[in-house]
Amino acid sequence: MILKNEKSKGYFTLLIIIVSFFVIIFSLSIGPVNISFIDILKYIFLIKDGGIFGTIIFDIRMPRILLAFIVGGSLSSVGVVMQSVFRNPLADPYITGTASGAAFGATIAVILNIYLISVLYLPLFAFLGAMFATTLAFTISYLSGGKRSENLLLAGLGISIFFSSIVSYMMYLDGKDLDYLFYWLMGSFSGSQMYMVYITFSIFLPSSILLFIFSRDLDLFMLGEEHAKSLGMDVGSKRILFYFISSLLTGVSVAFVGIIGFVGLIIPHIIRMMGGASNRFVLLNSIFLGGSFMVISDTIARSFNIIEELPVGIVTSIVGIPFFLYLIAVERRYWS
Amino acid sequence: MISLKNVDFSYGGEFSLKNINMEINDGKIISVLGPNGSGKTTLLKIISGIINDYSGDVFVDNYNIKNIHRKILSRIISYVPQDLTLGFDFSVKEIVMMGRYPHIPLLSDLNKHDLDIVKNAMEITGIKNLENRSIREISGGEKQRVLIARAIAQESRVIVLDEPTSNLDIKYQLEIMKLLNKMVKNGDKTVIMSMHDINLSIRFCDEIFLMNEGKMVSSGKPDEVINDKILSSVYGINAKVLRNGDGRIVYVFPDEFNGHG
Repeated sequence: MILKNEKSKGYFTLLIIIVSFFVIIFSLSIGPVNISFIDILKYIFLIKDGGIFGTIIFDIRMPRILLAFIVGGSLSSVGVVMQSVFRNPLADPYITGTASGAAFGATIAVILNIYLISVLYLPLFAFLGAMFATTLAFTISYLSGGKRSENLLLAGLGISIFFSSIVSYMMYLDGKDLDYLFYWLMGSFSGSQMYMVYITFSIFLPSSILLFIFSRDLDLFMLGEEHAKSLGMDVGSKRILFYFISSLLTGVSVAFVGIIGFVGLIIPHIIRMMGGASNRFVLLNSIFLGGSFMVISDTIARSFNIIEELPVGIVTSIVGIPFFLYLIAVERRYWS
Repeated sequence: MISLKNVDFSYGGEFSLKNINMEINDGKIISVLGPNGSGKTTLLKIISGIINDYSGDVFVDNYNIKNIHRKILSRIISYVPQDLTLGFDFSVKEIVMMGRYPHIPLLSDLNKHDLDIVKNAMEITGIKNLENRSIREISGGEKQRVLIARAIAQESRVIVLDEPTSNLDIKYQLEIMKLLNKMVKNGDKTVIMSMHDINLSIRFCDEIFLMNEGKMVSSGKPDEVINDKILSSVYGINAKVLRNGDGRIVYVFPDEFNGHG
């Protein structure tokens, strides 16, 4: 906890929002055709239509960058929620198996060709899969004693690997393009479209508002069930609400961009190190920092095209796994 | 008044409460004594509404707590657990502010009135100077006072505490007991707590409830409940209860302090 008072926390949030803006502009300027910072600003604020640069900025780069930002914000929010509800700083939609469950649901929609009926079916099935996997992970960890953090992580990792294997097997049997599978299981924004931005945003906005409204409940979850109950919280119904929102946000993200790990783990942790655990502060800042982090990761992924571009999940994992291991080794006393 | 009628509870066959009947009057400070595993914590959790799959009834002013909405109940009864182990950095002030949770409607925030109550709770418990410190950085005694401050901010008539003095050194034990005593004597609070220290309990409490193996063995004024025989049968020790001329207990010596003769 570096920032001790409300004023400094406010400045920090302002700084993160400003940085997010510049990260987006910066990312818009980078690509096979380099466009200067000033030109980007001109195109956004002055010239609404305009030639080849306009097409590159608005039609090619913008959907991808906006999607990355929203997905980064979504996954970070889910991290915040899961860490609070499970009382475990290591929880994240990837670790708990929620993301793989979403992938499983989405795969079913693909295999059965349901996704062709409407663009909404892919995220819907991913949501159902996410909900299923989260419930499964929680039930297994509960059956094994519940209170120990490790149980949830082990159950989640098991479920994660299991669903990923099933997804691979189903795709393989179905004769789907394995390149596509690879990108999807490792996460990629290369297929970004504007309609995906609209769908993810229309889930993300109300979900975030709900999370802000119920951020005090997340605080109480962190203290533990007894504390929460004695302060008058209805633990059971709030838990269902938070599972639902987590699965929704994870589902819609995974449906369009695949499984991207560790963002939900790293980002909230950094924010808590800066300003403490109060969830209103953590949520707001995690959304912007998570969004920026994802845009930067994706910018690296698409700039790294020696043969083909990198799946973005590789970039986030290269940063995230050492961080995860650090948390296990050094900060054990905080979570076990 | 709080009353328990024929309360039974069992948990996985390991420990249980058997036919508990209690009456606790308002404005009293009472303690529940008994060896480890006698069911003290379970009893307190039932009174606070944290455990609710028991049989029998618990009444607050003749209202069955099973019929009181949790949020309303938490404005009447607050619960202070033994400890708060936390992997997250909340500031002391944030923890105390959580005591206002049952009073704040959805979509609104703590107003000036709430913040005054929080400030007052921190001043009474002597933790105002710690308000911006992380809950992970402070000592066990300070943490205990933070949890009591939260219960004060909760503004409940009844405060239930699970061994509030067990992790503290003598100085803080006395400080906490004096604080609770003051709250009962100055206001209209009722304090119900479990304890291990028999002497502390005799000195500060109006009434003692003595439990063993899930049953209520005895209850009443400390001088009436505590004697050599009952301590021997409940705790399995050869205690010596020292009384002054009018029968009031001065001190209880556990076996080893009496071992010269």
